[in-house]
Amino acid sequence: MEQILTAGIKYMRSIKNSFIFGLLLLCVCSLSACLGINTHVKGIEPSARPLTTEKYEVIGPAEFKISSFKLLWFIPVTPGLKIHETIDENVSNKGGDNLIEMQLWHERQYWIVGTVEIVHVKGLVIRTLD
Amino acid sequence: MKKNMRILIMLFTLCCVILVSSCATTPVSVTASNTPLHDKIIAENLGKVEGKTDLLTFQGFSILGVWMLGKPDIQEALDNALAQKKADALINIKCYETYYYFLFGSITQVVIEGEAVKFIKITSDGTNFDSGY
Repeated sequence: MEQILTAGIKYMRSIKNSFIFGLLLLCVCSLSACLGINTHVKGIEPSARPLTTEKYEVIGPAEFKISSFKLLWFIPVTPGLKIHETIDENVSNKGGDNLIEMQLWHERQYWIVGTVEIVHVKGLVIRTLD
Repeated sequence: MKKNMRILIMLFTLCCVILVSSCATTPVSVTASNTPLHDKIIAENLGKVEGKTDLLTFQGFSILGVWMLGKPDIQEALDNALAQKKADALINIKCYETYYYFLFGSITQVVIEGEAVKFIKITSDGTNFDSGY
């Protein structure tokens, strides 16, 4: 009887260990296993917003990205890609009011837990002069 | 006999490699110009140009067509197009991507087509125009 109990406890422990190992493996895979990355050119634009004046000064180059995450590839966890809002925010942080010679890329990363979508924006920050 | 067999295997491998290699082109965007034009005067239209990214830089190389290293360089394609006619800007731009698939990966090439133009440079007082070329 004692032997059966000991064997049962051993078996339960092995199951518990396997479960913990599996959980750890899943965590590691979820965090590290990138199933794929694809980046595509999305376009070239003369400016992010229409230029209202002819006179402007170039502040400098800027490069930033906007990302969003979808759990299990379709459940949105973070807000969608608000490109214009992010451009405005980054441009105003640099002391400008528009972005010219804009280049755009769209990157999609496939993970086990979901997908990450990233829009890369590159251009020249300008400040219009009155 | 052995030598013939070896050549046959090599030819078969080569055929397989060629058969699994392919390419595809996708349009990306159409835009009026690469830079704002409303404050500039076009002096001369230099004609059509085409700029491509260099395949050997492996900028848009994708391992097994799944894991892409880096991102395709738009600026390189644009610079190559402008350098052809030493132009200031491009107008009527068409941009597309060409994918080359190989056995162990793929490469994305950015192609930019457009009309190269030269601007008239405006002097500091803003009244006199000076041809920039």
